[in-house]
Amino acid sequence: MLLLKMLALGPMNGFAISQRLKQVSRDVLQVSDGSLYPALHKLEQEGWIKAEWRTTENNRRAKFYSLTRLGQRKLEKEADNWRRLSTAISRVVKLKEA
Amino acid sequence: MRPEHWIYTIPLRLRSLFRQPEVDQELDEELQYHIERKTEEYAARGLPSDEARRQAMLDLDGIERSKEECRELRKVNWIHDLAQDLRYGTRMLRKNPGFTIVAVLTLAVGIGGTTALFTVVHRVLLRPLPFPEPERLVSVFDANRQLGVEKTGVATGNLLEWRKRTNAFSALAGWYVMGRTLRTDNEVEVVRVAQVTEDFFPALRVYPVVGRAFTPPEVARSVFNSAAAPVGADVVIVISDRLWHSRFSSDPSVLNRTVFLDRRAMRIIGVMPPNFAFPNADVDLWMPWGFEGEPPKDQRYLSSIARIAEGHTTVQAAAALQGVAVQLEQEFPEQNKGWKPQLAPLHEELTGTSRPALWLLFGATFCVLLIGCANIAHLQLIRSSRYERETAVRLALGASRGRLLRQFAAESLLISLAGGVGGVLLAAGAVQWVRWASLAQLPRSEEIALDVTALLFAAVVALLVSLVTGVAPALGVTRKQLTSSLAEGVRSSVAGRAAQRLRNALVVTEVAAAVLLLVSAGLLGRSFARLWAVDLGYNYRNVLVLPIFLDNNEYTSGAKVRAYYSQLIANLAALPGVVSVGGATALPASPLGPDFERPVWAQGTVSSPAEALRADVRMITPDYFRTLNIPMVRGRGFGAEDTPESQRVIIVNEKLATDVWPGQDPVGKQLVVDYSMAGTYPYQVVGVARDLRFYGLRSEPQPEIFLPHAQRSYLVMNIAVAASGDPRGLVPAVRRATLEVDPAQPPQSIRPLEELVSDTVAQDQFATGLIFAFSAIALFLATLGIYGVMAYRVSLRTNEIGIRIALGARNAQIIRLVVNQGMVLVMVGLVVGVLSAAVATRLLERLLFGVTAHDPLTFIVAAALLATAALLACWIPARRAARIDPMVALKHE
Repeated sequence: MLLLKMLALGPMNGFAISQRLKQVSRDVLQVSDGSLYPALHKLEQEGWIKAEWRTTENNRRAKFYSLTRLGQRKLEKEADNWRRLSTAISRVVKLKEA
Repeated sequence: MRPEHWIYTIPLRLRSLFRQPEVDQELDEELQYHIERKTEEYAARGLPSDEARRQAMLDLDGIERSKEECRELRKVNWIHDLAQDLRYGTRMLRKNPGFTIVAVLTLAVGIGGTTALFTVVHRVLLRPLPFPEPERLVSVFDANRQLGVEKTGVATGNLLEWRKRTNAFSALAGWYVMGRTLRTDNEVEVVRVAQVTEDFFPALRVYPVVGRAFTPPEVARSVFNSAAAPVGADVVIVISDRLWHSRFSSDPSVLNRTVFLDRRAMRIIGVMPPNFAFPNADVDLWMPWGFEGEPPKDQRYLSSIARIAEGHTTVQAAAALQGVAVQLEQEFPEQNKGWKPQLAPLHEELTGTSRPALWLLFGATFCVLLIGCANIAHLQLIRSSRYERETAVRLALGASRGRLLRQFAAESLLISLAGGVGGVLLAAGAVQWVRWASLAQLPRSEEIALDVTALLFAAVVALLVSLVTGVAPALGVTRKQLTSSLAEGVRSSVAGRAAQRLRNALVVTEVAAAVLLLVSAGLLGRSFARLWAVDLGYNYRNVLVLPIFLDNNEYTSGAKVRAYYSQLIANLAALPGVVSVGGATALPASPLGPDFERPVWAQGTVSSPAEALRADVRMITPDYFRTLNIPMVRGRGFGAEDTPESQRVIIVNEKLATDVWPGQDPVGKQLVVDYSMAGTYPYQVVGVARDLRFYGLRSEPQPEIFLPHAQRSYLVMNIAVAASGDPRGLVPAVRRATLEVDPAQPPQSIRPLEELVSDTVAQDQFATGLIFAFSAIALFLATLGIYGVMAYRVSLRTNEIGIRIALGARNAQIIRLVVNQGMVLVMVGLVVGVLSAAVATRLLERLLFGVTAHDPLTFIVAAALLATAALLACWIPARRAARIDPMVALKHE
């Protein structure tokens, strides 16, 4: 879901995604590079994201991933689920504190 | 959701399947790019460049692992695995050419046999007839239980009434087939002509592809006289595609051409489609048949079919027909008393007699295939044992069981595919052969062809075979405990109980299937021998038969006909090598010619002809009995003294004599023959001829009467020429001598009577020959299989046998040990086989003649034959076992 959300912001290549992940989560989420690529390929095989070769800002060829319409829908569903789950969890957590 | 999903995924899958190098290349590049950027980043943080690169790689947890993980996500690996398995399988098979060739050949024979017989069964028995809505077509025939007539043709007069009085049929047609001489541009040949009533083509709903069919007015004016020659003007005809090709080189301008049929001009108006073969494939010409006045209701010689009208079932139609028949019986009791017309589905009617034989042969090919499969399965089992240690190691290293199974299966798949291809080729040859030989006068043989269904059938059989031969042994091996395999060493574990049980089952199956086939072959063989041993009651060896159909336009009087035949008989009798020449309107076993029955009774015994016995009527020339070597039991034959002017005389057969005058001498008595239009007269019985089986080896003698041809001349005669030796050499001389009498009257055919007789049992011959071939193959394969299993067992027990010999066991004891072990299995198989044969042969009953389906002798001989072969198959490995050198044996693994 994280990857889908990242790509919802715009097409990105693998390296950029890994950099961005670290930035955004302020190094809390340590997604290793080793599991990043298999995850991307899995999403691609599921048809949620698609890949194309583009030239990067410093003029090198890289594979850019972007969200498909299918992925868009999947993301909405996942985000929804997540919101409900996290609200529920935070309620439970607050309950304990109270 | 799903289809949209596929838009994205299908191209991906296809790409990873067919563009694998490219996709891998991209993956490489992608990761390479990542590493480069990461390296740059680390370098920017101040790490030395090679350290930076190392760190970048570490982050990826190993570049190869990442790649492998990505590849596994592609979901098409199984296809790659399969390709790999097939490649590996091919390599393994190429390394064992002996095994491969034996296995592929065995399967080719098995699959080829089943596919060929499937094609025949499917095309002849299962596929609907090649007419629109064929299920509505029925065959119509007449029956009279009171007179013991189960099935005969219908009378033209009744056919017309049925057609008029019921609406249960959308079409009701009759026809009569005869040979006629066709002349086009001075070329004369005899063709088979179907004279058909108005509804013939509408009933079949098949029409000419070139030109058109007859119109009702054309049918109506095509009226025939009593000699079945058209008397109307401008008679039109439809010809077959074959005739169109052979005589008119497929020229479309054939329409409206005039040809001469028996010297009468006729106009061609249509050409039938190429595959049209009704009433049978011999017919080349269809001529319309109209009627004037009241056609006779008591001459039942027409073949008939009907198409049941929309909204009626066969049962309703049969009931409607019965209703009309009852009316006609009341209105015309003289002609119709007791006659009840019947319907039968046309398909059944055409193929009924071939049904049991074809199914039997189909079953037989399956037995052969089964035995072949068992042999191959055993060979596979032995082969897999050689790789057992390898398999165990691979399992220990974590190969999945399914993956290993698939590898075994791939090999079997290759073998069965090769066998399947060979089988299809064999089947194609066999099917051609069946068609070419038009074997056993098989119905619909012109429709037999290898088609897509047959190919599918072969493919399914090949797949099943690969399952049977591949998976069972593979399971046997991979199911075994790893540790035991690794520890025990190769050989002992294959002797393990599962594999042992499997092998025993194989032997039992093979023996049982082979016994089943041997028993069937034995029964059919004995039945066939019985059939040929039947005394037909006449001599058919060294006799030629030539049917002559005289043209009634030329031979307009009895005197002319008699003159022709006297001259012909004199000419033929004068030929060197000819012993005797006689003629009859219908000869035994010869299908052509007027063959009919009439009511007969002793003067003063019967009030109405409808109650009288019916006898087959034949007009004969004086030398008929001598030529066919039929003895006169009493009285005399016909001679020169019987002339048109002398007293009406008749000869009867023994059957008629005992039926009409039980216990009395019929000679000198008067027999009344109701000859319909030609009048009812008493005839003086002058002789009694011995009975004969007129309709072939299976038939029973029927009441027969013979009239002198001199007193009742017929245009159509079958001339029999008895020769002193093989009559085939006489054919050209006979043809010349016939054409000398009248060049425009060639014989319809000139064939040895022996051939005609064997035609009547051709189907038995066909079935018997094939089942003998199949059981020979089955016996051979089963023996081979038993030998294989026993030889392998001996090799497994080399150690043990060596020890026995070292401890002083004698040769005979060792041999007995091995043979006993094998024969126990064989006995079990024999029991299973004999029991299943006892059930299965009941299906054969209809094919058998003079033998019961449970003929004990056949069962005993079949079992004994197989036991002997099996004993031999056990004996050879046993002898080898007895010769084992204990020293060698003990060192043996």
